[in-house]
Amino acid sequence: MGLGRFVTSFVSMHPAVAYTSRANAFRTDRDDRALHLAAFATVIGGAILAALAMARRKRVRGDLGEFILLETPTRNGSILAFRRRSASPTGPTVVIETGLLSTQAHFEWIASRLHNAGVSVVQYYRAGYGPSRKQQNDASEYSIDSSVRDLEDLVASGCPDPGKLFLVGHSFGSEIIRRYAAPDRADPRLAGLIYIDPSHPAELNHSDTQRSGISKLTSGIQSFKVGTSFGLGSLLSRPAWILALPEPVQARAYDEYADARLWQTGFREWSGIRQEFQAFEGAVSSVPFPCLLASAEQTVAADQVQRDLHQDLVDAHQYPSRLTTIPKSNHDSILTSRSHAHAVAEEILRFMSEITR
Amino acid sequence: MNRGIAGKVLDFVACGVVASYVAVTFWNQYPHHSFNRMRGADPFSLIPNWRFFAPDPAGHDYHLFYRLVDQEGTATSWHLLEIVAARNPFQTLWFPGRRDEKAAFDLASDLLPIITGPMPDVATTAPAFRLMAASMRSRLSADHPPRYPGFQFSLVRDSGFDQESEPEVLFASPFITFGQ
Repeated sequence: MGLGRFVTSFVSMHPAVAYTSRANAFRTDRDDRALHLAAFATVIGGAILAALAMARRKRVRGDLGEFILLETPTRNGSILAFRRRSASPTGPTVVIETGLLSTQAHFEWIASRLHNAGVSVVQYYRAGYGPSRKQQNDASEYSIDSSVRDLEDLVASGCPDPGKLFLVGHSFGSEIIRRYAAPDRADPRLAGLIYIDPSHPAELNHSDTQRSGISKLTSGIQSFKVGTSFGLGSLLSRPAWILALPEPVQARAYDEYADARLWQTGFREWSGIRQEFQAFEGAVSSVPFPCLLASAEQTVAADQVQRDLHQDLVDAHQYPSRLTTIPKSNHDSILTSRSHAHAVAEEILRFMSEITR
Repeated sequence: MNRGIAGKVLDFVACGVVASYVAVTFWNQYPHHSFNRMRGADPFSLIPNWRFFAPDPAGHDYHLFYRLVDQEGTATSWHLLEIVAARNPFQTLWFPGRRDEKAAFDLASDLLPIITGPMPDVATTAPAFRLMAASMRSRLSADHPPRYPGFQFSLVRDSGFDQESEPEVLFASPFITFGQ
């Protein structure tokens, strides 16, 4: 293993060790100013990181931009921030449901493309993300149905247009919109569902790839949560997916990514999702609406089980549901890469036109 | 007098540099590799890492095997390509041969995520594969009998002295000609 290099490493430490030894402890020419200054500089460094984290939190929670807060809290007591980019009042409306640990910026390519094509687009932050807040002092465990209730209340209050309604969900967000579309509670305007590389409630039990990733994902989220909670968010390097987003939303995306709220909320959600998915048995119930399912090529190429689960989701929906694969995309790039996201947007527009024809 | 002031200023600057270095070092020890923004501005890797061996200690050795293939397509048996040099005390002072082992290990580490990733077919276009193939071609071409126009190599991982786990063949290359 080339351990020879440690010989020189250890020898190089000798002067420092000798300086701190008992024989030198009471020398009159001993100078410990550097040590004290180092401790001071370390404290100052921590204070700067904490100040940056506080300023970032203020921006994430307080700087709404084009988003507005829902006037009344949802039945869960959540106060949701949402943005409606209206096109025609009688035309279709798309409501976007993000995945676990996602920012709204993730959907910027798709949302802009849909809006430019004349579709009204509603985006919102789930409770705990960005400026949205869950009920104060709510220490309860997360349940997927609580997010479904919030989505119902958001659609009821934030989507007044009478046109057809489509729900778009990425990853775990797909499970929320699938449950929303249950026959007993769906909005009568609902016309179709669009799943983008979706989660399937049976995936943790059926897919070895997903199952083996549980502990890695849990420890990864935990690590981000602890680091950002200690104010180290400013030390996070800017990931490639942020640099792939439209330039105007990159700063906001980084703020949300480096803020502890995203990781705290994500960890709470993941704990609840994991429990519910692991307890899932049987088949997904049939959904009385058509769907479009866009798989990321790398997701289904890497795991045949995942491909089968995607097909299973499509089979649970009404005609004319279909499955499409976005070439070369992966689970994240299907949203964050311009070319992949635009390919998805084109598929969505085609699907909506088939349904509303 | 002036010299005394200059000395004090120099002392202060030196203390400031050391103090800043300690502070930067301290705040860059969080274990998750994504918290590495300052390391991006550190091209000479001056910010040390507290972990003793490496960020992710190696748990396996990699070995390269090859076999020669004749014009009829018949292959010889697999042979181990000797990369690891025998150790002696002098290597503590001078050990350039270590670079071969390190390069083979690093290339294997680069290739592994591609082999085990969603698109293993693209492994033969990866720089790590091409470097490996070129290196083996250069080593084998000098003394291979002319009736063998090419070779194939494989990458094997084992856990060294740990006898619990079996060696694992990670990758077998396609046929590679010496003339390429």
